[in-house]
Amino acid sequence: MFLYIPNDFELILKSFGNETLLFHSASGDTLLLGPTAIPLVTRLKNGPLEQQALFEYVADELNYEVDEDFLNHMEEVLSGLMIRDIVAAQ
Amino acid sequence: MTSRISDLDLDYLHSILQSSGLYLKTGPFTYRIRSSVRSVAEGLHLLYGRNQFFQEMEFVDFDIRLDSPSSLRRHFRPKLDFYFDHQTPFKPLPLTQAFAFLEWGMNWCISVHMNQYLKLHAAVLERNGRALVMPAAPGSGKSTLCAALMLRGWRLLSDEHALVSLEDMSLIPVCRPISLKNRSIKVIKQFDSSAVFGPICEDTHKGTVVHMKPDAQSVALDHQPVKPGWMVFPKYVPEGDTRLTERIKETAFLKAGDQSFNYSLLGRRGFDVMSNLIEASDCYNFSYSNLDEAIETFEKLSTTAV
Repeated sequence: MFLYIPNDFELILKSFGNETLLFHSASGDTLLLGPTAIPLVTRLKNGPLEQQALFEYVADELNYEVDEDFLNHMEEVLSGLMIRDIVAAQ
Repeated sequence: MTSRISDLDLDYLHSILQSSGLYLKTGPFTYRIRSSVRSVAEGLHLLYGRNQFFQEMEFVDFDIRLDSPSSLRRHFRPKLDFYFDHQTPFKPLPLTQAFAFLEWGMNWCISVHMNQYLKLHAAVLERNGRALVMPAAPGSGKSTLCAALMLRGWRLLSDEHALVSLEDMSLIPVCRPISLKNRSIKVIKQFDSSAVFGPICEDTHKGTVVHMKPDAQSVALDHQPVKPGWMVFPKYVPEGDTRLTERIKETAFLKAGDQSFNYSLLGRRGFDVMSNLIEASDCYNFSYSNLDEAIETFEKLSTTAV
């Protein structure tokens, strides 16, 4: 499954030095991104990626081990982003 | 020479309100106010006494009227309607709540219109050339704190609306009476006996409500915007300690957004302006129960560089 960020809206990331906010131009929503969501969204802004490769990319960025707990957590994070139409799958 | 509303004879002001209306300029907005209710004339005469008197103006932002819906109503359980451009956006309220109804209606005019600003439900005051913005939900002690700060020399920009310029993020004043409710009325009366209050409105949906007159300097400077300085989220905690703690800006952003009337409506522009406002402000949580300690804390804060 390839994941991507639809290009019919704008996603703005903003940090004041502590955490990261995401502004979704289509819904007008502003969200506080968790630490694992930040590299996920940042990576997908550069282009689509297959789910497993994306999760490995996030783990690599954060020096996390790709184990079952991590994968379960990432699926929850991904699901949250997909419900909000920030990330789509094809 | 221009005259002030307090210079007018009360009967004369009442007759103007019953006929062509009073043109009241407050901050960037002009209201045309009409009403046959005597307590409305009394409240305006007392609480807006320092505002300039205009009997006509070329442009009006809000044309409002407070009157009984029918002649029968005037005698049988008298109630009032709030008219905005001849529409009645609210259910009628008892005559005894007339002045509070006028103030709530005037707030509503700004809250649902005027999207040329980013609008937050917040008190705004100024000290040393910088604005203190206090976004808060009702019941947080925002107005009590705001009243106390004004009574100790802080300039009042608004007790209700932080209007943020979309161009330069400055805070635009719209200096009007401070609304106090229930216990806070007694608290402020005890805090400073010089505070001036308008008509008491009892048994409203908010309890007992009274409005406090803004001071002379705040009204005189009602046209001067202020650069942002501090964003503080106040919380009254009964018998709690006075505590000012730094807040990370990302969550301050979200909380301020929750208290905005039009953040989502402004879309990307709202996000950019809010970002700039937060960037330019030092952000804090503040909890208190003692007003003297609260004032001392804010005096110290006002001397800190932003």
